[in-house]
Amino acid sequence: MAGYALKRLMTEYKELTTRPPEGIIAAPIDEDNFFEWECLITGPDDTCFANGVFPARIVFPQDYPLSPPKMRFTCNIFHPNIYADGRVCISILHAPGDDPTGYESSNERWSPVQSIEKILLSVVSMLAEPNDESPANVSAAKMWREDRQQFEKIADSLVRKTLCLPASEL
Amino acid sequence: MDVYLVQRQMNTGNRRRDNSMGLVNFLSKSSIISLDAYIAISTIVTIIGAGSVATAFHSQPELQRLLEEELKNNTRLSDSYGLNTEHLSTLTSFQVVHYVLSDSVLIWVAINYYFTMLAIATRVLIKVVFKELSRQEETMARHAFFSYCLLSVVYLAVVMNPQQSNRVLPWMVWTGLCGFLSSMHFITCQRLKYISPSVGQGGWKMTFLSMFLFVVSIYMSVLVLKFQHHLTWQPALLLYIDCLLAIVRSTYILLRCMSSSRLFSSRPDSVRHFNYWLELGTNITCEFLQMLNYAQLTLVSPGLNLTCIFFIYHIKLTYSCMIESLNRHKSHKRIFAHIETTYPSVKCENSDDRCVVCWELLGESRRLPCSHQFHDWCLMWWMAQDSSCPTCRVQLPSPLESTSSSNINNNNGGGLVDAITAEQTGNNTTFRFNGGNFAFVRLPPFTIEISTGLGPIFGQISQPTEEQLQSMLEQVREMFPQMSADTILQDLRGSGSAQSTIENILEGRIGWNMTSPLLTNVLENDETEESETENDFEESLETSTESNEGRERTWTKSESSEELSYFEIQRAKMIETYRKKYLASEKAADLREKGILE
Repeated sequence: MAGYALKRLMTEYKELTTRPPEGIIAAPIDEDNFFEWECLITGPDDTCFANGVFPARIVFPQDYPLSPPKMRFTCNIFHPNIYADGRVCISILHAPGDDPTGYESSNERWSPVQSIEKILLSVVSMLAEPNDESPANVSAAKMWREDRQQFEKIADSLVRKTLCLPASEL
Repeated sequence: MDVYLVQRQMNTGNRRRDNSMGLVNFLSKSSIISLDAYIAISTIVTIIGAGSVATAFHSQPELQRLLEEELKNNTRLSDSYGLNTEHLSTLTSFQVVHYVLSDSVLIWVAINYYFTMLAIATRVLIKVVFKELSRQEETMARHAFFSYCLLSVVYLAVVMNPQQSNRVLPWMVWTGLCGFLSSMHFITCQRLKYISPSVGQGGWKMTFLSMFLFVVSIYMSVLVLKFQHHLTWQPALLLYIDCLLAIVRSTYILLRCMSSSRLFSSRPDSVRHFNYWLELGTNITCEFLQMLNYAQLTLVSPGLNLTCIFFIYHIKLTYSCMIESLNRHKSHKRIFAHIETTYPSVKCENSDDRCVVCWELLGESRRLPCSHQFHDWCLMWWMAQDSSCPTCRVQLPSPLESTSSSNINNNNGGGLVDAITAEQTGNNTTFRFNGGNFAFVRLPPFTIEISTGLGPIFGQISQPTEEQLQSMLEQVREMFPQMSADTILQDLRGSGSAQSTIENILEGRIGWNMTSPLLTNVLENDETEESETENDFEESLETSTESNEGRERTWTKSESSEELSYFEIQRAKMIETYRKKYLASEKAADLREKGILE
């Protein structure tokens, strides 16, 4: 796929700036290097992450869109499907063939049909509906299952942090 | 003179210490020897050298007369090079050159000056044509340069007769030029491979660069042809191979630039075919030429010694690279044949439908049984790694099933890769050559044991120093500011390079403490930090109101010089909007009580 990654990333950028989807921003960190992007997603309404603005970074391989990009949140986030260091564990970002958790069927994995916009929308819906079958953050998954109230409290404090608001008294 | 000594060490001494690939790896990954530092030091050295020459000429007026005499009597110049010594000897510049060349210290300063000029040329060319290099490209360029230098140093030190040391000067000039060319070639190839120039703004700059490289390599060959009769067959062969390599690579770059120009943009499919074959041809030719080079060096190196292992290792490396690209080509060909026979090529019904892989207009394309359509090439690249439809994930008959058997054969064919193995236990390194087929020759197995750490030959990097660790740590922190320095340092000690640590972080191989301070930090109510961020936010709000026209921003490059990027403006707006929304929601009851409303 040599030589076509840049072209496609540029097209995606054009698309994202001319028709920006609701609650999502994504742009290359530096317009001379289209292979590293920063993006913002907002927590979906009526969830514990509602109204939070979460920054993340996406790094694209040189054979994109044949191989999936890597995504990582650059803020603190506590979620069953996000590693403690911010890496996002979502099946569409796994290359066909590798299966770190053993829970996915191949048709949920990466395909060139995915785009930056679709990835970010998937991550937003993942925030709303955590998949605690194959947790990346075990303690978050445990808390999500057993102590939902505490989980929501943590989520709320994270949301406030991203909005630069003082935390509530616990 | 101290500066001068340091300089010399940087120039040649460092590379002489160890004949191993590990050194190349190490040098190309370390950030200590930076090009800028080298240029700065060299400039000082050159100025000192020039100053000393000038004072010598001024303080000793009889020196000029002496030099003139000497030059007139030099029969070698007039006989073998056909130069008019009568006229030349009166020129001051020629006298200066002669003076410098006859002085054992100044000659090194001159060589160093030459290298500096090349370094500056590289810097300027890169700045003009590519702007900023990515870290990967930088590493590649360094690697190309250092491995070329290493080869030359090994050649000069071992293969050439020590008696011929008076010829070191032209060799160093040649080495510098070739090293410069090969690093430029590598960077340009890398750019062309992944980023087509027609997309970027620098298309014509790239074309100029490729022309320049082509002209330089042609000129080099002409030079070698001209001085051929001064050389014996062996160094001549080496020079010719260098020239050929440079010409092949330059031609590749030139053709690649031409094929991606607008002239051919109406026929993308033929361009893709052309590029594919061009790349394959160039790769195999280059590998073959290099293999030839190493083979002849092995033959002429005196006796069986360590250099032989060095050369054999390189022969093995180039051979396996060649086999690998051939095999890859074979499997691509098979997939292509499979696509052509299985799926019908149809004209797209809807003229503005796009291929989901490359997002280009479909036009003439292949239709899968599930009625999804893709370009030939897009489908081929995807099929090389997965056998389902990219759109609906329906399983398709795999063309790779038949290739998997050939892969096993490939392993036998490229068996030499595994044939030489190195085991390192403590300070002992054991080279075990398992024998096997190498082209048509069957080689017997043998084992060599060496008691010093020669492990670096096989890519193991020696332990980095504390200083290097710190600079690598900074590199990594640049990318992942939220990670703790201790974690990164710990991994750096193991991996030895910033590149692989970054990879480790991205892959998540670095051990993460589940009960990390992350969570507790989140729950802590840190007043001071809060007020700080508050201020930051206020500032960003102000700036965002100033540049409200950011939304109308069209997608052009020239506007990237704005103080705030599109992303930053949008971020400020987004945070503002969602802050308001959050404050209006019932969760923010306690904040409203405190009086925080905006």
